[in-house]
Amino acid sequence: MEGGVKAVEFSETAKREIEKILSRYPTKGAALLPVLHLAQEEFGVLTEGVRARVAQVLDLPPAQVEGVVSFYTLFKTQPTGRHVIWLCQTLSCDLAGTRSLLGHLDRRYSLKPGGTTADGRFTLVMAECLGGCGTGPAMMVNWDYHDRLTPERVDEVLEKYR
Amino acid sequence: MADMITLTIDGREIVVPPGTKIIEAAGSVGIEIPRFCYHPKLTPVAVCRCCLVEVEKVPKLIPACATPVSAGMVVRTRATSEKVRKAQQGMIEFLLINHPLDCPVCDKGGECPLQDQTLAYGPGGTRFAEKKYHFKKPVPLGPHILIDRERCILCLRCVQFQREIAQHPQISVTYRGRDSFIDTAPGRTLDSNFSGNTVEICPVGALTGRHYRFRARPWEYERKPSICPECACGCNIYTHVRNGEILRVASRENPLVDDGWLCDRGRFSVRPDEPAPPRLTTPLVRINGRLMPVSWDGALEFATSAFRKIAQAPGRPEGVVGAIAGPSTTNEELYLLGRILRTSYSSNNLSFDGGASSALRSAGFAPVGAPDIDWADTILLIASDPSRDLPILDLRIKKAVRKGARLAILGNTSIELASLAASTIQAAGTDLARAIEEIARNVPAQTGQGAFLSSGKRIVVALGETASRDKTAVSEVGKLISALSKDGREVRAGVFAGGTNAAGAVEMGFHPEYLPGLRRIDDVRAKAQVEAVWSASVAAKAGLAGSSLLCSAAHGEVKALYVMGADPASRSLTPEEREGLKRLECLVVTTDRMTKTAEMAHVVFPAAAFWEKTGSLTNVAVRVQRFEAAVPPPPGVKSDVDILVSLAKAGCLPLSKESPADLAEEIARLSEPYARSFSGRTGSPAMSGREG
Amino acid sequence: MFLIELFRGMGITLKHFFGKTITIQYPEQRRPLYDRTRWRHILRRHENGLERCIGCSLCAGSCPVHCIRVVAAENTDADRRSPGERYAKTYEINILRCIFCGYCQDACPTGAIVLRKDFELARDHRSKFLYTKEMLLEPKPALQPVPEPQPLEMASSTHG
Repeated sequence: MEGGVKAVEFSETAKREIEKILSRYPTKGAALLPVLHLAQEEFGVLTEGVRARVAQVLDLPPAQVEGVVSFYTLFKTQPTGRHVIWLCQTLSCDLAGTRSLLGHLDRRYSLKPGGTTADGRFTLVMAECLGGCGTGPAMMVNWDYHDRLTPERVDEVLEKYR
Repeated sequence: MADMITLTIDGREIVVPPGTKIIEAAGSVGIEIPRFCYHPKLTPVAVCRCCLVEVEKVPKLIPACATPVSAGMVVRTRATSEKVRKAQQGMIEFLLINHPLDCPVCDKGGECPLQDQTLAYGPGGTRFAEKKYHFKKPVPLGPHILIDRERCILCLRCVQFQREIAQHPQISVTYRGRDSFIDTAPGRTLDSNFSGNTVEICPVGALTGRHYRFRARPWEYERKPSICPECACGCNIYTHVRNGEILRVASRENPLVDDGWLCDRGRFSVRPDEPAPPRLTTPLVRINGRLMPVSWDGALEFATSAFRKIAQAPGRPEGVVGAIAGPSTTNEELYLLGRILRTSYSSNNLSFDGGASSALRSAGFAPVGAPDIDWADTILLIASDPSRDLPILDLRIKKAVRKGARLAILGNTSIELASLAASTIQAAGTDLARAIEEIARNVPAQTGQGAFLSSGKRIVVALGETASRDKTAVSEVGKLISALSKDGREVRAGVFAGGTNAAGAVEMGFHPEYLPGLRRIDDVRAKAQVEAVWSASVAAKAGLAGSSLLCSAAHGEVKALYVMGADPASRSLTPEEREGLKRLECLVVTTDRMTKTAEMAHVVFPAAAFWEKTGSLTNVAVRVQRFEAAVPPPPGVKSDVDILVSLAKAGCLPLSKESPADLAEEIARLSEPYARSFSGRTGSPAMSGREG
Repeated sequence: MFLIELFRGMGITLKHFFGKTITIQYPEQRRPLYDRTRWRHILRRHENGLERCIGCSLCAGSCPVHCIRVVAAENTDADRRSPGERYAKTYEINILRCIFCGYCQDACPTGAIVLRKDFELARDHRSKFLYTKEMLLEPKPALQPVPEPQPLEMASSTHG
């Protein structure tokens, strides 16, 4: 069943938590999102093994879990750096200059979308609208929101995250 | 009948049953609405947005595939609504934005709903001038299926099919928006036994079958109706032939048999991408210990004189000649071989080499097939695994369970269908009969599985292969049936067993104990009926079959064997059985390719392969289905019926009927199901696909 | 009386006898062929030497006399004949049956099959009129490094 994936086991606390989540929903499939969040908290990253385990625990087809995990950008399937930069790529920000920021991040930090800096400090993720359409381009670093960005301001902001 | 609903579509008043979707209501009066994701057998997901229609008092356009009709609804389709027409054109333009339009190299080009509907409903051009997406392609999803992500329009038909119909949810949409694509979970493949259907229902060329990719363009095929010879389901198929070569097999929907689906075993039995072993095209005769090619006349002469010498030995012993026939031999071949052996060689040694038979029909069992599963509200499978043996019936059972039927399993509870069963009991070997007996006892007592079964009103009991050979188990099932057939309950019991045409073999009298039409050989009156038709006498002693036939050859009792389309030597034989094959004075083999048995033979006749034959097969529900040759046999090759007729002539057998029509008429006089297959409303029933 | 008619006829003959010659001494002399002359087919290649033909059979489908037979096969990275996934394993034209209508050229999505000016097609045996792919295919251009296979783009289509 595991398909060569290393067996991953939830901790006892997590197992109890899953039971609690399951009791809230009429079907096991409905509990998928909260259980995935729990799994991400527990293991940090939703690796192949974690995804397979979640499918097993919830009695769902692995392909369905795969579809849900890949749909939501907040689920991490790759290990990330210490800080995650969410750069908005939606139209308003794009017009306001997201691409120049991308070029800057690449030149200055060798950071490409989906990539992590060599020192493990930042991971860059492209995000859809962060709600800063009037004040773009916008980005989030971890959960902090920054807008009206220019390459200089990006450097300034990123200085704060070590 | 519930109240009918009246609605108006494009100004026409339409009356349909409640629950009908707008798209179906429109279709019933010939108003066509474009669609990609909608499929009549799948739950609508309404993702392609091409079936949008305008409904009065609804502010937005709504998908016709997912909206049930309601009374007084006023629907406008593209024919009467400019808004709908524009929306549909826009949707199709969107679908084509990233579609590669590589129709000239696409397997679907020519039979592609996207192509057809773009022509019919799409805009003439596109305003998209930017670069299209390019992906790596093709990507294998499973052993038979490859996906071309560029062509995919994400209609989800394949996902829905695997989830709902096959119930193997191995594929899903991953990622989102413009990055979405269909994929399996990492490290897993689409290895469902029904994956080939996704290629057929794919409305674009995104899913392609590995074995016929690029073999031909759809318009080049000659489509010939036929019957799948891979198992006893007898699914109706079309063979797609180009230049005398079968390149693929497609479904031909028959609700009484296959519901329009095929399993991968049947669909991918035709593999033009794999080299075929060389065909045998000349008769071979063993001369000085070696098989040498000879003329047809020479080989026929050799075989008949050898058989005659053995059969007309002093004392004219009965049963010195035997015959073994393999699966996918037709009813006509089986009948003719049985008749020749019985009348010319006074032998009842007829052994069918393709699984158990439905001989149980005489013991209160009736043929049970797809329509019975549809009818049932409770299904009991006894030591049977349709998923493996009769895949299309597995789909039928899944469908029945989906519609509310309850499934009980007795036997191996680790089979796939056990996960759908409401009641399972593990039993094997001698325990099986005891377990059946216990259930039968529990029926009046209203406990355990007995209570479960007796709460049904229409019960189907199906016996698997091993159970049907276990005499105690069979008699216990008989008791169970009589226990259940009370209090207004109806029971249909049959066997889910046997290979291709196993049911036909018994029906045709290719059986040591049964004459054609399921007449027992020890029933004097039944035997007389057959003798009257044949104008010849039949030996009264039951014959030998299977292992005992080969063993008696080892003891020198059976001296000559006629093997038609079977290869007993390739099975794992006991030393005694192997000795039997070796000691034969005359072994005649008809085969399309060289086999282990043929290597031991004295005479080998090159016979037509299945696709080169015309005849009929009988499926597990004893439904006789006729088919015609899809391709001609290679030069020098004859069909088994022709070989038998030639042999009979050379052997001076009084065979008055030798044309296929005469032969069929004679069989129809002896076999009721065979006769029924003739009495079609419009021509030949098996060829018309549907039968009322 | 009929002699007058005879001399009148001979007069016309004589006039043409001394007039301008309109026949030419083929094969020593040849007339220039028009630009749109349609005779023997060739199968063209891309500049990089890959075959243009993708084995789509549209030429065979459009052929009014059914003189073209195409059997396609799949390209592999080891044996790449054309860009994209598909190429023609067999390409045959029965030139005896061909009426040189040029529909195949019209139907071809990649401009692979074209009718050119070679009209001297006489042969001494029927079997020599079955033109195989080898006979039809343009010779490979001088050896150049084979570029990466590009995704297939159709030469003409209304949808961008």
